[in-house]
Amino acid sequence: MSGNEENSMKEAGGCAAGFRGKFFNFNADAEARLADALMAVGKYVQGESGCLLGHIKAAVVNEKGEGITLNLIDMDNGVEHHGTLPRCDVVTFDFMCAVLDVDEHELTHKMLHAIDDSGIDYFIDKESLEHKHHHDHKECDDPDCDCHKHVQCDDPDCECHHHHHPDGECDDPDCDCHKHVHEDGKECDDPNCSCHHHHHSFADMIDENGHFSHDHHHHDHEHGECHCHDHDHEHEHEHHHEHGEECHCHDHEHHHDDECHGHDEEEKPKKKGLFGFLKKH
Amino acid sequence: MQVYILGGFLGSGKTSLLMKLATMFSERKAKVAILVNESGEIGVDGATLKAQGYDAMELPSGCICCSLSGTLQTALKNIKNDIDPDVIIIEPTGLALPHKVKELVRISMIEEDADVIIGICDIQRFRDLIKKKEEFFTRQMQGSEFILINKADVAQPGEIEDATAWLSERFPNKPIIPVSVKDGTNLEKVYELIK
Repeated sequence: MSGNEENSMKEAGGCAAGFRGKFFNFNADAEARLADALMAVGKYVQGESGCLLGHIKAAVVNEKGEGITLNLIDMDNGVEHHGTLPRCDVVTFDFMCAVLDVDEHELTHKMLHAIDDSGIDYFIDKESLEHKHHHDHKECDDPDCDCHKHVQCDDPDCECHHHHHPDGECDDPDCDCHKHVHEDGKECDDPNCSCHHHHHSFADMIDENGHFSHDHHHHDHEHGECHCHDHDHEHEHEHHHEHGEECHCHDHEHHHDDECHGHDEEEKPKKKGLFGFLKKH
Repeated sequence: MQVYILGGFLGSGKTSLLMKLATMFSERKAKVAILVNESGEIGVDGATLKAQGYDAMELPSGCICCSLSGTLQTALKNIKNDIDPDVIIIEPTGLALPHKVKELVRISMIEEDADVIIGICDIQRFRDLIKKKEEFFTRQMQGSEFILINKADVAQPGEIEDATAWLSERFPNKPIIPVSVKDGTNLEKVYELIK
């Protein structure tokens, strides 16, 4: 069955992403902002995949166990709201997507930005972003499970394995970790490419206040270590221009100076977060 | 003990159907156990069900490539031993193949009287799904005892007929039933079929 789960998801071309955390001062306004966050992710999926096949969901629950669910499965119908929740000082949330034909890493990236840009006071649980491919190893008895293929890598310069092979390095020539896959899903054939987008851990981008760090877009530029963004721009332009949409590459830049938040729609004023005064930007 | 497996693509209405069926069984004094599993490591359905008053067991999605099979069988055995329900409703992920879940149920030795896959699809996105993932969708539906066409209340003229024709052509022996889980259309008919 485990193989089935993996294979059926692969077979469908699907991927799932999500994280959990807390919202503070959650009220009707925050609920509307959360719905906007779901729509933002939905627009991304629609742009990438051509249509939204799958669902984008969020559950918000207070300490009494009362909760609401927001569910986006159709962009035309918008976000469905189920249940009611009185204003709460603190609630827990689960935010997940299961959709087709998008890159899981980029999907997570968009989800994090959607929450960060929503203006809701939030705290993201870092652990919920950490991939758990290895935690069940002792329980798994599936001989075909790819997780078990931990072998030694013979490339002394390879940096691919840090995140995915905690049990040791890998010398499996078929291991996907060795492939440099760009955000457009295409494998990179540039021998000098140093892009490692898929190996950046989002958990590492959550700061001590549970906030998604904006630094991830620029820290490597400053040090000249990473060329990921050079390619990103090319690919981002391709993605959006193909779909006739305005380019969002520059949105990220704007987050840093808080002057502009996207070109194609008017944004709600950002609420000052509980930890807003601690933000670097 | 009856085991029902709700098979359908993401967003087809499996969780809503699950809640309706659980309510219908409970109203008739049947003891119901619910098992839900979602794609990925973060689940929302468990929280939703609990917030709506349903006592659901979430199958930890954990590692989607290697944790489900043993966990499902252990969960089924525990439910059988601890609760001994009249009905178990299993909601796999919308990217799972329900006939394989059924195989696991059968080898889990819970001595069920029947295991039934209820296939469900969403009329609003039927064409898109067929256009993009026809083969996968067909595989999802192939083990179903019958297929529900959900969201009939918002179907455009001719859509139900077209979807029924498509499904009937591929699954000539399966009953095809338009339903609306939202407004309850034909759900009593479904209940009569499965009880």
